[in-house]
Amino acid sequence: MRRMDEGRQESQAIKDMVSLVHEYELSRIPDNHELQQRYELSDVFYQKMERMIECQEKKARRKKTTTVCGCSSGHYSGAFWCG
Amino acid sequence: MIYLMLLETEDDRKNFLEIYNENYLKMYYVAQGMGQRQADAENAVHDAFLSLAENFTKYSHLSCSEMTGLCVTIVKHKVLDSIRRANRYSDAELEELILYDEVPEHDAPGMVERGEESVFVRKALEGISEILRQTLTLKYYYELSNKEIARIQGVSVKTVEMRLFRGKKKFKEVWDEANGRGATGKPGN
Repeated sequence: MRRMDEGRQESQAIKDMVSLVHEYELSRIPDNHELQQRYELSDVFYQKMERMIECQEKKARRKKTTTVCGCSSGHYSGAFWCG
Repeated sequence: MIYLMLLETEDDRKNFLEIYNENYLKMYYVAQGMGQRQADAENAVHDAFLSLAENFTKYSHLSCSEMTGLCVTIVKHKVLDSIRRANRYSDAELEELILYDEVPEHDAPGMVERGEESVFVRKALEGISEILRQTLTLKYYYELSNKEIARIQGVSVKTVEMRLFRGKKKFKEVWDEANGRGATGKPGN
């Protein structure tokens, strides 16, 4: 019983210490308004995202063609899962 | 947006989009602050959102500020993973890696007034490695299981357990040092 109490106290102490550090780190991050002025993410980033989406959509279309007949529940709800 | 395809319901997708818009720049800022070039920082942000989308239902109860904190913590892990692979660090070497930016102008307002706490915070940031701090943050602040932490970090549960053990020890040492206690934990030693 005493060990359980000590264990709980230790956990709470660690949680308090971790919280102090984590919340301080978060407080150092500028707000979105400042960040929007600071950054312009590269065009390459957005192009990469679009290519990945196209690739996933193609995969989903191929998968739909090959698996929709094999799905036991008969329900197709998206690109990555069935049923 | 590719992450939306990983989400089941329309509500989840809508919530995720809000989270993305609110946090992607902050995550990018943090990744760059860890020494990443633009492309690597963008990759880390992307990997972090994929990780978030894969387990979104587990995190959907978090408040806005808690979600920001979680996004930041996850992107830090992705950066550390990238650093580990690029430098071929072992786990032991990664656990020694400290990336804290010591520029005083970045201090948050109110730190000066917090006395001992601010001493502890600074010592923790300077003396405890990024991976140990982030592991304990996921465990004790966000209350994730060891298995969930292992998934985010891409390591075994055993590695997470060792990091938690070593991290707790380090935090206690730093706390005692910041409060003028020696190795015995007693004041004045």
